[in-house]
Amino acid sequence: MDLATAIYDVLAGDETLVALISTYHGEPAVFTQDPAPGDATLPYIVTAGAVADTAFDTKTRQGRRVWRDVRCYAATNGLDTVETMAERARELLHRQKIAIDGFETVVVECSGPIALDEPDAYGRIVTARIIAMEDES
Amino acid sequence: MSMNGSDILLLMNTGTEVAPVYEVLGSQRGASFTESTANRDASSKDSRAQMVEPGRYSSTVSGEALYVPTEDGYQALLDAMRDGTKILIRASEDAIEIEQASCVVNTITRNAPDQETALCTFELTVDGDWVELTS
Repeated sequence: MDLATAIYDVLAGDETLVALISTYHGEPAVFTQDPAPGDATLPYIVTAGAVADTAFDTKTRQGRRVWRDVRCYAATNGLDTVETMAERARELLHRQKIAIDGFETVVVECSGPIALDEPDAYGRIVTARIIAMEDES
Repeated sequence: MSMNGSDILLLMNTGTEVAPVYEVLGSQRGASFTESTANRDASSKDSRAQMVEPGRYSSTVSGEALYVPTEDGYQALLDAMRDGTKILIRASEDAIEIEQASCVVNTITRNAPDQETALCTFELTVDGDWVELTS
C-alpha cells in the first residue's frame, strides 16, 4: 500500500500549501522519510510511516485501517506559518477521497493539529485515519 | 477441528431461476445460518413433566457485508426484495458448495454512519428445506 506517494501527491500538489513551504532540490519540501534530510530548510512537512496499521478485511476482500501523521515544521519565528500549514494539510485530507494506487479509499478523517514543538522549530501534527479497501480484481 | 468463519461463505444466485449462477456475496463480513424446530406439546395429566415432540422446522439466514451498491450479490438480494420474488442461495465451506435453499428476503438494511464504512445487513427465511449438494 503506497500511502506515502498518495499523501505526497495531495500535499505537494496543492499550490496554497506549496507556497508556504520551502523547496528541496527544486521540489516541494514534503518528505516521506524520517528524519528529513539534514540540509533541508524550514518550513517543511514530514509524513513517514504509519502510527498504526491494522487489517480491515472482509471474507472476500482485504482492506487496511491506517493512522498516519503529517508533521509540519517551521522556524521558531514562524508560528503563523506552521499553524497555516497544518490547517491546510488538514483541509486537504479531511473527508477527502485520496487516490491510493490499488485501493479504494472509504474514509479519511483527520484529528489535530496538535502542538509538537521542538527546541529549534515549531511543530504541528495532523493525524489522518484512513480506511481503504483493495481494488476488486 | 473448528473452522475459521471466513471459510464459510454465502453465495447468491445472480442468474435466473432456470439458469442459476452462484456468486459469493462480495465484501462479506458475517453470515449466520440458523435452523430451529418448534415444540409440539405432548404433555398430559399423566405426568407433571412437559412432553414435547418435534414440530415446525424453520431456517433463517442473516448476514452483513460492506455496502457495495454495484456488487452482483447485493443487487440480486435487492431485486428479490423489490420484485417480491424468492432468491436461491448456497453455502460453501472451504470453497466447496455444500447446500442450497430458496429464500424470501425479509429485510435489507443499509447502515450509513458518518465517516465510517457503510454496511448492508439482511435477513432471509428459507422456503422448505436446505438441499444438500452432492459433488
